[in-house]
Amino acid sequence: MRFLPIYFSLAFISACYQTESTITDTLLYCSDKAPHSFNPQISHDVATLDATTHQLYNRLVKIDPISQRFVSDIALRWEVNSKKTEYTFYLRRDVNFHHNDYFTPSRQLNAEDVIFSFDRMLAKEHPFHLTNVVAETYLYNHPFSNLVADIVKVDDYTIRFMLNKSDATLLANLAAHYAVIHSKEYAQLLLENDNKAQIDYLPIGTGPYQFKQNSTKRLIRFQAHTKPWEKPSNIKQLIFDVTPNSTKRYAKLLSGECDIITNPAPSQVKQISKNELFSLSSQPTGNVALIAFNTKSKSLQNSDVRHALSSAIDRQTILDAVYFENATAANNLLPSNSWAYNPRAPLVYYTPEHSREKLQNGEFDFSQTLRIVAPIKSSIFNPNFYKTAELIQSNLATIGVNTEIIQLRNEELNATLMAGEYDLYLTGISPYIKDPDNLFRPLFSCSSNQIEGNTGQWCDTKVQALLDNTLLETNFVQRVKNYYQLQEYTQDQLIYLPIAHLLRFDVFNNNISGLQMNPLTGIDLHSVNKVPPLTKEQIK
Amino acid sequence: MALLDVRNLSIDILTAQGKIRVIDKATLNIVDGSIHGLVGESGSGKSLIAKAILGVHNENWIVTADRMFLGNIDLLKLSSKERRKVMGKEIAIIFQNPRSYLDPSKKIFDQMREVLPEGKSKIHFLNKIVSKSTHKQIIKELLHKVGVQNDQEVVRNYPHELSEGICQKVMIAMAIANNPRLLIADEPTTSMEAVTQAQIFRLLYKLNQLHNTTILLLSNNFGSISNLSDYISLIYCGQTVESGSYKQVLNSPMHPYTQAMIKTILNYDENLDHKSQLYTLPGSIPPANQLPIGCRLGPRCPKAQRTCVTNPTAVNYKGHVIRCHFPTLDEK
Amino acid sequence: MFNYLIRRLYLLCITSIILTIIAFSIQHLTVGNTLDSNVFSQYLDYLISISQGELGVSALDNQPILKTALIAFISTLELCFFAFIFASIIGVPLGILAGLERNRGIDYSIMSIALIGLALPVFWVAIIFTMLPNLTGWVMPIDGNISVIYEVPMVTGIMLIDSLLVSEQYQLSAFYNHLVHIVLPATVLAIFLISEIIRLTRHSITMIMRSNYIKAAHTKGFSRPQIVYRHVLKNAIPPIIHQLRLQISTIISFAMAIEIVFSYQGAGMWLFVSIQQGDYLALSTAILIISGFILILSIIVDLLLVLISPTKRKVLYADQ
Repeated sequence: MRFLPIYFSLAFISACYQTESTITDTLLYCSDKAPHSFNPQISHDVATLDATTHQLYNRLVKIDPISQRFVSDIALRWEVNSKKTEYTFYLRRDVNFHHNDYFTPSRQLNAEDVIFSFDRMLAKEHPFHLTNVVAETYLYNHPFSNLVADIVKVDDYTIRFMLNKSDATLLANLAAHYAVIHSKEYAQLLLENDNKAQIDYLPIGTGPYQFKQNSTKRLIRFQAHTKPWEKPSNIKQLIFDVTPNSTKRYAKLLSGECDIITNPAPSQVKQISKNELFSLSSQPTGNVALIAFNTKSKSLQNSDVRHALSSAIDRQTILDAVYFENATAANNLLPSNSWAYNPRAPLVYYTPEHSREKLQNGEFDFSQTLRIVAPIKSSIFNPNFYKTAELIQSNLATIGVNTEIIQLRNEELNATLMAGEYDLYLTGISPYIKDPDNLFRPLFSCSSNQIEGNTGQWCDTKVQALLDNTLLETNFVQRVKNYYQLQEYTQDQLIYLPIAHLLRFDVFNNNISGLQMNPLTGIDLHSVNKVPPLTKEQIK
Repeated sequence: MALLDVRNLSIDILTAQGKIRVIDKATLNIVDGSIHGLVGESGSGKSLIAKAILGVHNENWIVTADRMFLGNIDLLKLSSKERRKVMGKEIAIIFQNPRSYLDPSKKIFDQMREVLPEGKSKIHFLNKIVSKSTHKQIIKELLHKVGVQNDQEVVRNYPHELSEGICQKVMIAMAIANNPRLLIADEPTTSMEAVTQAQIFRLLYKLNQLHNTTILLLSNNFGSISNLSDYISLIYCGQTVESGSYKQVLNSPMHPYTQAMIKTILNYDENLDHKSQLYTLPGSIPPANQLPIGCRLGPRCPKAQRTCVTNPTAVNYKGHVIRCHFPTLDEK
Repeated sequence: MFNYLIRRLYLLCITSIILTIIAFSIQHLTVGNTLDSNVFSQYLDYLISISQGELGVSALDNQPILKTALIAFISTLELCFFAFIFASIIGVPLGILAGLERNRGIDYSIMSIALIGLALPVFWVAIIFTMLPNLTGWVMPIDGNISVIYEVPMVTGIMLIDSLLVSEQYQLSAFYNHLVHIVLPATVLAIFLISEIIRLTRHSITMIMRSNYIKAAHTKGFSRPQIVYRHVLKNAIPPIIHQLRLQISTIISFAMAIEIVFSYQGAGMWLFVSIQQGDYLALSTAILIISGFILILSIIVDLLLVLISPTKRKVLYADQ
């Protein structure tokens, strides 16, 4: 009995405990997955982008979040020739690389580093071209390599991009997440030590934060760049804490062990938005979840059938049940804030009786069973493929169409897609850059196969011509017109039925300001400012 | 002068079947400075009486008595704290199977120190160290008094390393440490071999003679206490049937039970036939939930008649007290 | 005494051989085997390598797995130790009280508290406790064994000591931070330990209160607190320790489950992460280390009992 005071005094000690949220020069970011690597050139998952693009590296140009225009990052200014085949960039002269315990730079950034970084993606003879690259070679260099013929060094601080053909999208490509600049000197050092793989796991860049060697897979430590060339950040220590369990993540935010969390559980988003201590930020990501109709399959060749089936699917229910509040309704493949969005393209409404009639008029064979194919693992497009498929199945059953649901793993899935043994396929599209071509080309181009994105197996000269012409078109208004036309046509054909535009949610403590979220390139923690948090009483 | 005067002590126990009167108007009168033997078969209630006197009974026993006086102290009217004081100083009790009544985790030395007069309730840390040598001396004397010669060895040991005889002597030593007025010995030698028995009885006798300690000796064996006690009481099934001085009871037993008990003492001078049946009363002690009404010997008594269903009153013939409807009266 | 020790060591040998067989079969089945030699020779090789202390290299970080496992397990032990102290401080007095006031009101209410520990599943209680700081407004960390801000190298595995080693850098704030991190997981584990300890103590005390020497102590005129303090306590401890020894494995497995919920870097977390990422060598290593530890601890506890309780010594001598 007389030991009880000891226990209680220990509990009282913990009452004086102050959480990490009160330390103003350390920022804790809790994400849900560990990054695959620290080089966004080879890994395109959200976790890698969050950890690297804005934190570790810089690019030649970047997109200003407010004006949506291209502004300078490492390149001070640039010039384009009249035919849009040559872009010349003039680089800054005071950019320092990271200086830490595994690398000490002897010089500042110059043109050699830029050329080295881009050549790695383009040139097959580059010593680092195949380092750490996994089977997704399609994603490694596809949009970029078809564009750029060569990169020429004009002088130490000037480079010129020579394009294959006239193209307006180079700047967008250079502002994308994969256009980061590495250090050639570091790469040389690794080459000499025969340790090439390290370039992607112990990274060196020029960004506001530098990597610390004692990071583990679950805990990534950054410290502020010791010799920053941009405005130094207020945060001296940045820590990425990987917590896969979404409830735990939120609990850590509540207990003060995280300042910012990403991807809260969809069912909890409503609850979180009611909490006064935290702010919920939702950004459209440009990712679209959609149902692809296999236009080469027997039953779906007629666009009326596709229309009928689409009007029988209750997309609102899918949104509510599967996505909760994490997505907005989609009628169009493009998000509504895109400059190419066509508001007058034909829409699809939910009219199940109408569909039944239509199918009967079109002499649809009701005895056959349509195959709905979906991946097993949930992806960024869909947290629960099976539930979505079930909902579609029941919707179609009410109009009398029989379906079966088949879920496959990766290799079997790819094989089934290539063999064309599917009628409906649940998937999505995730564009890298803001150009609409990046969205439409994989879906509609004749040169894109099922694995690359054209799961509708659509090939049409008209669409192809529209795509190719618009890509080279320099007149902005004409481009808009072309894309409008494309959208009208494709939505009339209804090759893909869009379900939802996905949002990205982040929750952060109210004592944090200056957080920038770019849906295509990840979170930017450079200008984050953290003040001591208000207590509940102070808020009231 | 009566040291312990217990009159009409009754103990009721509440059980699931109702109230059972286990001790029925028992009377005990112990003369100061004598050895008083209380004889009864196992289960007759001797230990219960001892516990009632000491006050260590369970709470669900109901103890009533007309009188329960220890000298001048009315035991019934004591609060528990005073009762404890009396228990410590005035009455001491030793038990059967002495080894189990000693704390197995402490050495004999520590256990004996606890009961020494000055240090009883205050073995504080400092006192412990300071008075150790005086205590050693006292303990040595005590042990010599009870006949333990190798006291150095004994005090260093734990109870499970000593024999029953030594343990009993240690218990007696602990009992007499405070010079109690009354020493209750609850079947002290029942489980021991004859040599040790004789030693213990001799010790008790010596204590009585030299220190004038009154001893209440409970036993189930008439023969063992026969030449030790000054006074004898017999108890059957919770009723005291006869009590008186040793000579009175032995030479002129009036109660049929006493007569039966005396007959059971084997006299090896007589010629016993080979394999002949030894004498007992027919039947056995009734179980507690089937106690007969009135005189409880009734069903087994050779002299039982109708009137035995009522409780006999006690009749005193010059100190020889008897409770029977049909006593054997050879002398008036 | 020495003979007793030798006898126990014989038993230890037999049990450890069975243990190595189990660990070897797990490794054989999961990590892979060389098909050119038969099972027995592989087993012998395995035994030889174990005795030299090389249990293989982890597939995850290419470090010798024995070191990682030991450091992780010591963290678990640290947690168990704290929980044990908390639980003893609370559970033993409650158990004594319940044992003394047997079948009265206090006894029933204390036993109801003890039943809670039996009835609730470990992981559920742990998860509820992670939400506790938010519900009650009591600011407590729920993740890890030290805040991520502090970079503490794992030298000994006992975070208490490691956090003191970096005291030039952080003064004592890392140590203090670690203490605060231990409180919640240790409290959860203590809940279950408390119910065990209450039941065992109560039973032990009841048994002792019925014994003869306590009755004798009553007749000597001691008051109840005196009896409890002088005689009952010392005799009550050995049965409790004996029973707890049998529960050590349960306690360690509870601790590992709690660690997973709180992401406390101990053996449970390490095993969980290893299995998730496919490093099955961790399984056989964990079996060897944890079971080996439990065996050795049992023997030590036995020896301890013999030392402190004279009655157990009687058992020793009687065997001779």
